[in-house]
Amino acid sequence: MDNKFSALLLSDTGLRSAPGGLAINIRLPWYRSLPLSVVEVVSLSIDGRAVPTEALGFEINGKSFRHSELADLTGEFWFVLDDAVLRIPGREAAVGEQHDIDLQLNLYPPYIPQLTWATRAKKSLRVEAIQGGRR
Amino acid sequence: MTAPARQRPLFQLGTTLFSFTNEYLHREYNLEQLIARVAELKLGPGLELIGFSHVRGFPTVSDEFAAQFRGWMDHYQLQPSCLAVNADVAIRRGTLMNDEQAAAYFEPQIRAAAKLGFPVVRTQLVANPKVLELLLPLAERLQIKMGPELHAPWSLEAPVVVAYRELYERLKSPWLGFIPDFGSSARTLPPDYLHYLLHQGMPRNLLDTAVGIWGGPGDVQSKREEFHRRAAAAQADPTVISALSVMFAILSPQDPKAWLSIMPQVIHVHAKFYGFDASGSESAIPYEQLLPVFVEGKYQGYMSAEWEGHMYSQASGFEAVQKLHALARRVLAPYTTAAA
Repeated sequence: MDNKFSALLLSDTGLRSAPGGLAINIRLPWYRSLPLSVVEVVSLSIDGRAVPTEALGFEINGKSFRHSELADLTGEFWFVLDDAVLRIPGREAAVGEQHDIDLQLNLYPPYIPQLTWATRAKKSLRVEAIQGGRR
Repeated sequence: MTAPARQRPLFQLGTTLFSFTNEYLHREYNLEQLIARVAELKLGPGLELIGFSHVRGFPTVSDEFAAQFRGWMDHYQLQPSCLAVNADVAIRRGTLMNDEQAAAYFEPQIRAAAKLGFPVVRTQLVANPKVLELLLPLAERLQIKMGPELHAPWSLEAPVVVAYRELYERLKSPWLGFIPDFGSSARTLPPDYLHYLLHQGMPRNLLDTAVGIWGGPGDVQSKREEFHRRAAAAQADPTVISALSVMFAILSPQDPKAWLSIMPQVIHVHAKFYGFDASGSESAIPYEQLLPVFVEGKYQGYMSAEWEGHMYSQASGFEAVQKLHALARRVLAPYTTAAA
């Protein structure tokens, strides 16, 4: 089931081919900034094929992290208006191709300890060039 | 002999920028544009922000941002009413901060409130009363009132609230108070919200189960446990359980008159609302009963219109807040005109 943030999580122009793999721009599916320690990518599949989450990279605030590092990053905040970037290393795709993305991202809002906020977004996205176009 | 004049309202209306979550997250309005629109539509004079939503880098506040924000308040003739701060006690998943850690986490947020000119900070019940006791010397020094939001699902008799009332009785400090949220004085669940959940694919039997538990007897904890037991038995999808858990956390029933028992300690109010019926009344929260309670109780602070319909609607928060202010003016009219 979609929630209010499903459409925000994956933008229509968020899938990009980048050196070394694919990149997906994502937005925080919540109304306030949260530390990365409460952000978890639960599942990601491309065209029905699961991508192991341990292979994912996560970029925010000009820094790169491995997905497995997020739980310890209590002091690194995802500002509510900013895009983060999920990196999928080794997955190639040509600009202009369509791919089905299915992403579930869980948040554990740290002031509501009982709540797991699961947001799932499924979209068919066209692969865009990296920002600034291909050189 | 003439009848005594009715008590006039001593409180002022205002708005929290949380009401404009749709406009803000979709990057249609930046912070200054939200503030300017609040002023233009006369949705003040009180202005409330959420530190972690509206201030980049919060709780760090640069001198430049503080000067800019104070300049906006002057220029747009708004009054900073309350800064919402957060008790992120579970910042490390699966563990909770102790009281000293929680106080240390709040400290820079309270300093940020003072730097921006807010007289009140909204804390959260998930932090123990001891946390505010530890922060009291700082609040006194900065002249900032602190108080937890009394939010659904908790009633005034819930143990977490009673613990605060006992602390306040002991400390008797003017810097400690409460912030009622009218979501904890709900009459029912908003019909628009239930329609939305069904439209999103919520199984009708699970929704009926949850609504039945919500309106039924029992305390919050037993209702939550019963809901989770039945959702697990139905093998509900995690996104469905998320949506229904939130429903229990945002609205709960309580007699509007209950607020009288803490009225002298009320330092700010969240006039939470979702939608309106054809006559302009709120569809789930009884403003016709609630507002007179705050007039008669001689409440003297700000009341922030807080639209949370954006949880399920893409509609304009500005139109929603305009309707709430119109409803409030209608309900308060008999009190503002001099009685014979």
